[in-house]
Amino acid sequence: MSDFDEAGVVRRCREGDEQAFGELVDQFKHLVYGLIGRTVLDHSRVDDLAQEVFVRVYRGLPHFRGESRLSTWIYRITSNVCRQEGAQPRPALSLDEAAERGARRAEPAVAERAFSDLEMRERLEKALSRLPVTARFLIAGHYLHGVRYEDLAEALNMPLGTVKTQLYRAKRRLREVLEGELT
Amino acid sequence: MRCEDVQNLIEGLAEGEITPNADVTAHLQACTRCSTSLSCARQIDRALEALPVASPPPAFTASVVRCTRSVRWESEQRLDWWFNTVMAICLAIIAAGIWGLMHVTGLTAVTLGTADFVGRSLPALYERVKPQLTLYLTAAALVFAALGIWRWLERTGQPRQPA
Repeated sequence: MSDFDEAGVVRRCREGDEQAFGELVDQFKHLVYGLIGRTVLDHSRVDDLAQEVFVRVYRGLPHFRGESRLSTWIYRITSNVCRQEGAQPRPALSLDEAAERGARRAEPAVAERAFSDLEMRERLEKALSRLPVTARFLIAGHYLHGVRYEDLAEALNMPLGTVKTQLYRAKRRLREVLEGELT
Repeated sequence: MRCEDVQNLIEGLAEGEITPNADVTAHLQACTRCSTSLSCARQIDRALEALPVASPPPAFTASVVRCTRSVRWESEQRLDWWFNTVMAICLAIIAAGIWGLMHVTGLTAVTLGTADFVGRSLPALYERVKPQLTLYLTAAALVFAALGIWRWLERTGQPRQPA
């Protein structure tokens, strides 16, 4: 990541250098793919959406002023593409609903129960699908190597504290849903 | 310390961003519900880290670059269309201006006389050209066919954006 000359690549892309754009795609494709793969529910759409992100990057490069890092700008585009996709087969739980579920959650009688890793993964994916797309994007970004809180805050146009709070709330909702299933 | 207070700290504790003080530690030791929550949060944390990450196919970059070629071509076509439209409008305005100027200065009457003269000369011109007319028409057809092929190649040679 440190060898990547962001300003140079952007300049070459603006001059119409196709190879430079290829370098840019190579640099960010894994992160974009990872973010989309963990955010959207329909995994067959990941390829198309990742391509859409880079087409938007290509179209936007002439207007990119360099006020934020290139990666942050790309995360923002990825977030917008994910939000527009917004494929949620089930309505997302509101925070109030989650809080209600939390109030009815596991009591000491079921404390000893725990999920196996595989079971946990399956249930976690189901629980994730019930979160709003922004929460899923935050969780995806947080657990993907290379995406910092600051990047997420700038990409989502939120204060840093709000990002952390929303992330904790999203994770708490996940926990409450999973604990609710233990009862 | 109340369960509600500790529950608000569970995610931070699980991630290691919050260090539990003596009160929190004592509560976690005494309260099964909160210690279960903490253990569940840790399990979620590990599971989230271990979730599989989608990887782009090997040809992804090439496919995106092909896509951008198509985007660029479409954008150039759009620019060409606007340029041609603006040029046509400008030419129409210039022609109308010239016509208006000629009308004001009385030159249109002279021009109409000239047109009448040219009109009367055309049959004579046709008679002179008639013997080589087939040759001229064939040459014109060849030129238009060549232009048509060039235009077709330009259109079909562009990569299309995958669906």
